Amino acid sequence: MERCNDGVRKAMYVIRDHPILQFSRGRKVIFYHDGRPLEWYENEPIAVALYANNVKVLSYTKKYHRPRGFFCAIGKCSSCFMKVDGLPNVRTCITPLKEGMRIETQHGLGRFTESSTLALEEPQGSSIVQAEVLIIGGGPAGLSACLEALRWGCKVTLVDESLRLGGQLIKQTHKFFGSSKDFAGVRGIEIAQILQRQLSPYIGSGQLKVLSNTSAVAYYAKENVVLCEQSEKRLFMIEPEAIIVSTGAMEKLVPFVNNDLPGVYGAGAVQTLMNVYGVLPGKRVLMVGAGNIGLIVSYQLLQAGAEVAAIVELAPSVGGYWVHAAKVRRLGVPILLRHTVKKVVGESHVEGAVIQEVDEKGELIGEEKFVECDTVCLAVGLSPTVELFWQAGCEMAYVNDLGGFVPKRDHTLRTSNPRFWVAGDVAGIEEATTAMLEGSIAGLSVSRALNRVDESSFESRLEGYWNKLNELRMGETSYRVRRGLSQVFIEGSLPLFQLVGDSPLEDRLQDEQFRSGVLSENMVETVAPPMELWKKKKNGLVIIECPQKIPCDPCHANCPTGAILPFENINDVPRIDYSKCTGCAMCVAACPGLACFVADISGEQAILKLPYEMLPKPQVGDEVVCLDRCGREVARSKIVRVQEPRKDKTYVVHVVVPKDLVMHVRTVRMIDRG
Amino acid sequence: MDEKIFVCRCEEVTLEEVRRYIRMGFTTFSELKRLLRIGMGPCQGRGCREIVLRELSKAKGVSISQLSPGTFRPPSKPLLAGLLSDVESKKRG
Repeated sequence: MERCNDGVRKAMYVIRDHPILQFSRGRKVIFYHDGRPLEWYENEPIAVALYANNVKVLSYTKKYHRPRGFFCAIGKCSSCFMKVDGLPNVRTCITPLKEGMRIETQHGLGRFTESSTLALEEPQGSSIVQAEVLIIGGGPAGLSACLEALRWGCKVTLVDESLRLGGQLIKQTHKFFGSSKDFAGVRGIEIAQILQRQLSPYIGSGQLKVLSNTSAVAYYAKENVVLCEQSEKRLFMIEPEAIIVSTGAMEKLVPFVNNDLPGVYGAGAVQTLMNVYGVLPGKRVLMVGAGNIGLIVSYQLLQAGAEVAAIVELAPSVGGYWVHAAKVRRLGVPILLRHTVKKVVGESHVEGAVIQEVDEKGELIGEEKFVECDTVCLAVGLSPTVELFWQAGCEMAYVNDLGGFVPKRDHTLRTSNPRFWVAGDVAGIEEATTAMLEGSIAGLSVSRALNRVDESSFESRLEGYWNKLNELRMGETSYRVRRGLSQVFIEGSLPLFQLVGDSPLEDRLQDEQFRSGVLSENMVETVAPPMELWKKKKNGLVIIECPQKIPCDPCHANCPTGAILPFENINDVPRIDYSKCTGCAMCVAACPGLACFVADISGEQAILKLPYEMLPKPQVGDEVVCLDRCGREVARSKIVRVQEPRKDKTYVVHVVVPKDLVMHVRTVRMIDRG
Repeated sequence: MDEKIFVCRCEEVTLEEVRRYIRMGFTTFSELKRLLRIGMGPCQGRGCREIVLRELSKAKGVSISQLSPGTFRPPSKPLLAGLLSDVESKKRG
């Protein structure tokens, strides 16, 4: 094992450079793992500190004494139990590291160290706290609900389990889709910051009280109290007038052999580790699931410097946005459709996985294939975290399309228990843009119930939010969400929810290549600009490879000449007036799906302008490998110009390519400068 | 290491066990919970409940929406007994 001079083991998985993120780390402190001194940054989760020091086994189980690591890394699954300063069963994924902490591998249920004195906090006042509006969960839905309720004058208490507010937003390094009037084109991490900035004046004025690292562990209906626990040190009750539950969701476990082995992690855990704390989960990852999360996290792994061995997907086509699939395909990541993980191998940590093809009925067929990897990332879907609704006696419905059991609700997102509202993933698995709108609706509805909003403002605002939601849910990939939502509205409520929208083409109507994120041969021609104009146009013309109806408009919003036409419906695929295109490549930098390119064929050789979000940072003169839509090397070239990011971190690189490759090359990889 | 497929990580219940008990005639989530401790560990069924319900649904030929997911007793995470007694004594005044 590598050792520093001071005898402290050197961190092996630390991300030093990242194309999008900068990690602001605190003070380095010494702590002890089974008596051995290690160092990491104060106040980051213990589990992260250990991982960065190459400690992946946190405990051994009580029955079979199997090694265990963390799984969800957001405080939900309790796989990360360890003994901390004598106290067993501490959730190390959400417990902050302190100087001199003594962390021990837990065996079985764990025992107290006899000499240990527990640092229980002195009770602060009454153990029952009153709250007007209690919001549980500080993710996109919860923060938006907060803002809305505060805007109307409600007094709000926000309870959040994590160490940092923002829920899953704080690990989203990609640019969001949706409308440019809202957050489209902005990265999730920045959205979290924007929302928090908007909340801060209310904290100052005392109208908002934020309780971080606090879990709402129970609701007692008869007494109407929510039992909360803060940092393992304080237990208290909140007696609220109204409750908005926005507790989010947890990664689903997949039953395969050795699915409990350290190295098998939920996608959320992988994101926490690498995007919040700058620690790589592994060097070579197998991704399970090609929904949006699987595709996005794969791309993020590449950005962080890991290798993605493959993405396996049980369905016959990718479930997430097609453009997200195209992004990873062109970087050489294979997407294996109709494949599943059968088994993971390794002694105390993942050393590889066995995958196999499945037929239409889900039966295993063909030969087993071994994939060498040190991490298996599960992104097969999420389960809403709904215990509080069950405890509150809310009417529930099992809706597969929404991820499992969810509470029924009216069109203001109030559940059958009049004290409870629901918003975000816990209302049905979707994504952050819709979660924020749901949060606003719940916040508005609570304000109405507390008589803070007059009837007409309420109605008009509610309709405004619903119009946006309906629009966002009209795209092809939202068809399951629409189908699911049609089953969850309480009878008699008049939902403003619309069922209309586009359905994806049936799988059999598309070729395999397209279904896994690579443009079909016969579609390539349809995205090319008209040849007569193209040949003459200096600076080139735009090529947009965005064949799927998804809610997104930054290409139009960032086009200075009006060449990319306005969207009648935000889900429409982009339409181009080539006569107005100047080849400026603003859309190339702005497109969240990295689906816009510019090709200039007016000269002797063609110049391609491509989006670039990887390391190393591009410079003029850099040698590059040109990759096609499947990540195959088709040419070598040089960067002739770099357009620096104007407001974001996406570079546009200009590379010279032979003319016949203009419709093939879609990204570049730097050749080592050294 | 033995090859096991876990349904419940906390209580280390395998898919094989769940299927065996279902075949023995225990066809509700609550029964399986009492017999196997499935869903009674520190995560309180967040990981396993759905997999078990899917198995039950397959075995009984009914949709999951017709199955009871069992009771969701508080608390949803382990608490220090010392903290609990503290609250209780204060409540009594």
